[in-house]
Amino acid sequence: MSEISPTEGVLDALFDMVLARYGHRLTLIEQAEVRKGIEQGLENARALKAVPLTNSDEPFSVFSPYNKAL
Amino acid sequence: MSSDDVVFFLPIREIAEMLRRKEVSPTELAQTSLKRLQKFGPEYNAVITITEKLAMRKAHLAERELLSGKDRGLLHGIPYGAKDLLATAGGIPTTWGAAPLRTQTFDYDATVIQRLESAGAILAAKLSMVELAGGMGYRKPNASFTGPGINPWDTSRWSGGSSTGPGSAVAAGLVPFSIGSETWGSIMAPAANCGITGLRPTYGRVSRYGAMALSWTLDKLGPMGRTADDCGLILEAIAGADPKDPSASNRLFQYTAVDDGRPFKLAVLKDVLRNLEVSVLKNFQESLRVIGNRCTVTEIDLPDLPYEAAARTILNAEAASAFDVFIESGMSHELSAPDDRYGGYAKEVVLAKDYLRALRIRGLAARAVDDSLAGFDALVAPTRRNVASGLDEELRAAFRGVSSDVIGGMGNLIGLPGVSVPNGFGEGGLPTAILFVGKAFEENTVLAIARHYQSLTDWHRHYPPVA
Repeated sequence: MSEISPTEGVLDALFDMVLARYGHRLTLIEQAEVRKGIEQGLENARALKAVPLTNSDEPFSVFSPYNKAL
Repeated sequence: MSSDDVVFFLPIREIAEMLRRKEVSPTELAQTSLKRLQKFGPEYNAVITITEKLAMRKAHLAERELLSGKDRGLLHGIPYGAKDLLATAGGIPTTWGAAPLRTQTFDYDATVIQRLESAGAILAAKLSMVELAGGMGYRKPNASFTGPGINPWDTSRWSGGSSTGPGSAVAAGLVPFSIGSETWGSIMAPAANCGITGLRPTYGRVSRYGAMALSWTLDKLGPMGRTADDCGLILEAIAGADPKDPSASNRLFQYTAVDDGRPFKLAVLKDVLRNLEVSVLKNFQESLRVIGNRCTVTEIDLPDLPYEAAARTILNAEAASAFDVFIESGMSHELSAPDDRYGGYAKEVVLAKDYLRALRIRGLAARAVDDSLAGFDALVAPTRRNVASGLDEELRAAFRGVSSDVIGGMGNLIGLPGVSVPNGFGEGGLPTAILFVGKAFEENTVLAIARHYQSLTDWHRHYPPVA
């Protein structure tokens, strides 16, 4: 029996999550398209994973503490 | 076409001079614009709402002010159109291009709308767009409840996207300028397809308050007009800090229209000229020859980073959150394009750690690209690989991960400014364009390069054979 690769397992799990939430709205063809979309997202994630990051590499996003009085 | 209509194909400075010489009045301009929007807007699926009452009221006001000596600047009395994702008060719908939201209204104006009003510009129409600015991953131009954006240069071709109306309305002379938005390519692509000039400002240069959010850390608003000079004038009017948008930068933008004559150092990516349509390559090479007397061009490589994967991951995660109610409620199933009805579901399962990794890589990329561009004024490239595609053709949308767009992915991921200017005609007599991407907050540099190019060419003076 062939083993399921970790990636396929993750893909299956994420796809199952979408099906659990929205499966009733989707035809089989649409489900297949959604699965392809998730797969593309995982390919993106794999490309990101290949970049070495250190603990000090912080997210590059905006945040400023809020104090209405100031 | 009457002489009144020709005004709409002139750069802003020339229209402004005509207004001040009293060769045309703001009310005449507004009336002509409204007529053209009514007559030609439907032909190009360019218009969602014509704001006739508002436009005429503001035109009368502008006329009184200019006659009394109150001059708000070069945009005073000039009509414009706004992509229909910018909130407008007064019961004017803001549809986001989406059928289920066609009656949506807001009780406030977006900051950009407010700033253009302060500059005396006159909102004449809310312009069409791809539904939700393409956030559900559309595959064909039919993704809008107003129909596919039709290109005034060839009505069998697409104008977009996703700023389809802002592109075609300027190209067809329905308004002298427009405001579009870009998350990934949505100003650059329609500007190139429609043969007009488009400016994508640095991320944070223009307040996004009142604009539909597709991706909070990728969305930018910017001008689309006849020339680079037009875009500089408009950017100065709309740029600046805004307490209502924490991402809006407090760096002052003052448009520098005076050319200091210095030489420009341009960089071109080694692989960027692969797989181009023949005419696009030819026009690009000719463009470099034209500006060669003042520009040096050096081949470079960008640091090897997954720009597109990072931008797509951020876009998907943020779009899933921005539209979570829309998706969860099932409203997405009322969208026009069949692919958009289920396109949001895959985005819902982007893992938080992958999203955060993409944001961390954005920081690395920003520093690495800035280092690579040290000593250069801009990157130069063809804006698009090909001329406008057919209305029934499947798109190779970069954010769906099925085409390579390193410059678009990199430029949007790290929020760099870019200006696209027309540089000739290619297959089928359709416009081609050249793109200058600058360092963060250096819009004046890319505008100066684009102005130099436009001072040596007249492609921006060509307009389609609109009846």
